[in-house]
Amino acid sequence: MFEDGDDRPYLVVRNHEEQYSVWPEGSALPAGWEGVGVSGDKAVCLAHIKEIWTDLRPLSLR
Amino acid sequence: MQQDFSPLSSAQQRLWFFWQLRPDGSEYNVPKATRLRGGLDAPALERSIAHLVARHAQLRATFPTVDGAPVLRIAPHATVPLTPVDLTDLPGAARERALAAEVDRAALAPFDLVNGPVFRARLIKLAADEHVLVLAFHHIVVDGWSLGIVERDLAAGYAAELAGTAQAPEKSTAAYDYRDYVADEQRMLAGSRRVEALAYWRDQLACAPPQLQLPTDWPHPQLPSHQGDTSSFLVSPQLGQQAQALATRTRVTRFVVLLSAYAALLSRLTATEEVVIGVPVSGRTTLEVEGVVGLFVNMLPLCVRVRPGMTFVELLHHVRDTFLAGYEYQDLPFQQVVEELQPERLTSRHPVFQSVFTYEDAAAGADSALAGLQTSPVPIRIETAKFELTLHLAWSAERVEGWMGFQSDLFDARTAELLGERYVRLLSAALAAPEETVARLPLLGAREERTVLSGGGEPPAPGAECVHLLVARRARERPTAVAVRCAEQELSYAELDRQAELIAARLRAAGARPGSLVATCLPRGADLVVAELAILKSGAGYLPLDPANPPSRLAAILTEAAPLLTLTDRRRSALVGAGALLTLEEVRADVAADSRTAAEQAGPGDLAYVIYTSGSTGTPKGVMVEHRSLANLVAWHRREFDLGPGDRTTLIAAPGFDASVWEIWPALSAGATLEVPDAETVLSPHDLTAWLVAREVTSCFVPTPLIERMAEAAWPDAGAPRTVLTGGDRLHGVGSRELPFRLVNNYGPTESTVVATSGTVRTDLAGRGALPDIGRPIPGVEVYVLDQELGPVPTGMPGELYLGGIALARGYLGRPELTADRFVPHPFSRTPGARLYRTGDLVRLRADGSLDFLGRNDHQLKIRGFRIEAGEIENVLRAHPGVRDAVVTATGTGTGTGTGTEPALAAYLVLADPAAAPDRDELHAHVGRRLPGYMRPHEYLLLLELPLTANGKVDRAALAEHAVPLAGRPAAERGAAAPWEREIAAVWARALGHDSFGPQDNFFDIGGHSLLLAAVRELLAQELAREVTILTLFEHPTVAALAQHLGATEAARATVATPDAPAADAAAARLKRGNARLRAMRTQNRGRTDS
Repeated sequence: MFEDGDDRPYLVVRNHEEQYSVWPEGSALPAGWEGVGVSGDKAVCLAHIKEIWTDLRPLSLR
Repeated sequence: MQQDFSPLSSAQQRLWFFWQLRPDGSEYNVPKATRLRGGLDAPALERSIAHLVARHAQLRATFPTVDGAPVLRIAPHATVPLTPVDLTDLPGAARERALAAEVDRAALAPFDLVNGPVFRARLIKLAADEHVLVLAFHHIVVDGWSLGIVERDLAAGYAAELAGTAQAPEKSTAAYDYRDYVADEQRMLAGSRRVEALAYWRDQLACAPPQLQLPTDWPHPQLPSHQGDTSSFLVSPQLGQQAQALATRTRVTRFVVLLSAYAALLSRLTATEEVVIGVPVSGRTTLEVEGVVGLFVNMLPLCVRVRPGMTFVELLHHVRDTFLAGYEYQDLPFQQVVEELQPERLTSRHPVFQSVFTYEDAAAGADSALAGLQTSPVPIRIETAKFELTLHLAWSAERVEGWMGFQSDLFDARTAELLGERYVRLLSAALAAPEETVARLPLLGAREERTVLSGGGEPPAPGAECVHLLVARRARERPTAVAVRCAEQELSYAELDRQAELIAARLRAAGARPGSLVATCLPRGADLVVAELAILKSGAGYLPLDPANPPSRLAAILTEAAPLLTLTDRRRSALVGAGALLTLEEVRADVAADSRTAAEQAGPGDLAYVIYTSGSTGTPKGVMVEHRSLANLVAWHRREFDLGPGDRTTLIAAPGFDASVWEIWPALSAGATLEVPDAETVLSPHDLTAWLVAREVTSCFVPTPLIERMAEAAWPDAGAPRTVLTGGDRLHGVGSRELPFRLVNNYGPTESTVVATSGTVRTDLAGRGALPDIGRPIPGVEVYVLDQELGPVPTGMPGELYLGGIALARGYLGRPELTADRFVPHPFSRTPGARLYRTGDLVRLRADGSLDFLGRNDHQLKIRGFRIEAGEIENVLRAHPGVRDAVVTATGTGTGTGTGTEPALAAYLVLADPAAAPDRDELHAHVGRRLPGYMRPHEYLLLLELPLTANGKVDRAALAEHAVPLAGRPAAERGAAAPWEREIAAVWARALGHDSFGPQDNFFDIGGHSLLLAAVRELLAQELAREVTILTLFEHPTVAALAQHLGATEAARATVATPDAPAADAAAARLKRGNARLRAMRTQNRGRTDS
């Protein structure tokens, strides 16, 4: 999991602080995280995150 | 008519050989101690023992050598006295202690196989009606079965004595004698049965791994001490019933169920499909031998294959079939299998299998009790272990008892305990779901899983507060105390605070506030400290740039980070190529600055600093660390190292490294004085040592390579720091010298706020070959060692390190995609939405909760079918003092004979000192002492530095490009050092019966085996007039190595110039020292348990 360059499908996920990450599709998502409706290989997911996660501060600090 | 001298059985030859290797060892003692309550007729008991010795010839055996080979001699008569020991005068508690000591002495004292006796008896009197009988045998004349015979015969003899029906002791009249068994065995070995049996075992073991790949707590020593211990556990009655039910349902025995679970455990823990487990069998295949005392037991090297996808039920049937097939060939002595297979020989490891499974169905021994006495067993301390790991299970109607026996050279008691827990967990899961795939059965015991998934850490350190507030408080409390001292200036706390306030005001005026970023471009010194404090006071986070960096790199960072401005001085202002500038000179000139700008304070969640790191990816990335993480580090540090006013600490790390964060804030938050050495001093280990002493530094951080050098040199008697912290690199160890300070090793990526784990370096590691560990997680840090599916890895197993907790950085400045990739959802946290940082570092959790750093999460190699962790070999290479770094890869061009392109291992080395390359042979010997042959590199190549790929990993494809081979000594020198080669080769040829070998061929690869060594020794004594121990021959298995060794000891003898000195043999001396150490340790152990 999270191997660099692996080709399994991932989901783009987000927590309540609007921090983003990726999670392997099909694995149980840890509490406090939800998918944002984007999936694909890791590169696709990370590229999406690069677009949408413009403020890296936790939501409570913004 | 039997002759006086007769040959040994194969099993006896093997034990005789082991005894030659370690005559003082007690691991082959077979003791039995029994408490006897009631009126004992001691003379009758002594006569019963005489009967026993008269009846069983093996109890009168000795094993002298004739022409270099051992022979079995049965004395016509022998007396084994029942030595009395009277403890009745001692008071109660002292008596029990004395009893334990006496029992140990009787049970564990070594035997002299050459002169005998091989059996001893003690009667320890505790009271008029309470005795302890200790019988101890050397394993060479008995086995477990024999003990049953001895007990029964002794009971019968004693009863007859009491009844007055006993006859005078007379020689055994048994029709069948052990010597008949030896003769049968020899007939069998000369016939077709041997060929058939060998073919079977060769086929069975063809694909078996030559060594158990179980991770150990300690590296395998060259000479195992055979010190051992056991850890016991209970299998619940319900589990026993379930095991019985499954056995019945699947038509196997309970033994097979329990053995299968053990095989599954070992297969899982070693990540290999095949495991070889030694299983003892009685070896008594005919009726005649049932009543004979002697060594019949044999070991079956069972090769169990746990194929991928196999269910537990499938495994049961496989194990049953394998065992039954092997059982058919149990008459072939294990020794023969060893000689036939000629496995990789290491003196440190048992051939073919290193792990054993024993099982007994506890039958009530009612008929073996002595008449008129109440008997109960007396435990004997097991301080030895024949095998690396042994699972003993004893089944009775009420319960199943288990013991995990282990060699304490390799395993800590806690690890053995965990192995027992894992066995029970795996067995329970398999019994609950026998159709489940073995690979899916849980390995972690419930308790272990809780430990592993707890993150190991403590809650965040109490008293955490933003560091600039703490510094301000110290300035109010002790304004005149020195905060920073350099060669050219001294800054009091009041002055530090005043200057920082002044600058902070200017920064706030320029727009600094919580969340913004201000860079510094200042060298290590008072100004840097003032500037960083000022930035924190302004509410902003600081980004320290090292003015020593190339301007292009500074510009790249400034462009990406886009700080509000860069604080520098006039001298360095030209270096700052991008963004706004503010020089300290400007601020100081502007005395009219308005310091009353409304100050918005930074909170715990606000940015404290950004440190750029190259980390594992090639382009530098800015790690954003928040105040709460820094405050946690500082609170932990102050408490752990007891830092306060009056302490003197140092600022040694360059700005731009997070070690400087760690140096500055705990010191200033505690009111200590920060001493700043000049650049020259930092570069010289010698000068730095002198400076630390002269400045009376009490606590400091010294980077790893520097402290290793400093630790080598002598420290003055007084004036050393109290604590020295190190980190940043792999700590190799600091030698065996006692250090005058507490040395603390630390590990942590910048992403976890400098320090994730920390631990005081143990000084007792010297000699055990292990690198110092990286300690345990500090408060506020969670550590998880996980596999590729984010599942917890059992204690002791390698896995990737993930970090969680309050110390985690916010992410990478301006790199959302990189942040998302490295900071991932936390599957084990109680806090919803928490994240884990994946470090990419391979570690393993030790049973004591500390971590071993193993290297980067890199490729695994496969050589001759074995999975090899390159990291393991690399670790051994790095442990060599001449080696700084190492990468091991597999190459396609092997040197294997006749196998074509068998891959070989290449070791790429970066030397600690490029001008002082280690000798190739010496380095190879260093590796050879620690790893089996198939893990030893075939080539050693030197590099000035490791080539990196674009993403910062070692570029394995580019390794060969710039490497040059590590040179050995010139051939001429080697030739000259070995004048004995021809003589030794001649002796070998005589012993082996052929001469088709070269000086570098391994004795054991060309037909030699351990028993031939005795003949080689004998011949060498004749040809060279040199006494050589068998161990020396074992340790120098090539003609060249032995010749070199003999040459070296010859030279040593000549130097010492004591012609009358006994043959000095380094290996023998080492062995003696080892035994002395063993005895010393044993004495200590006794002392401890007695007190």
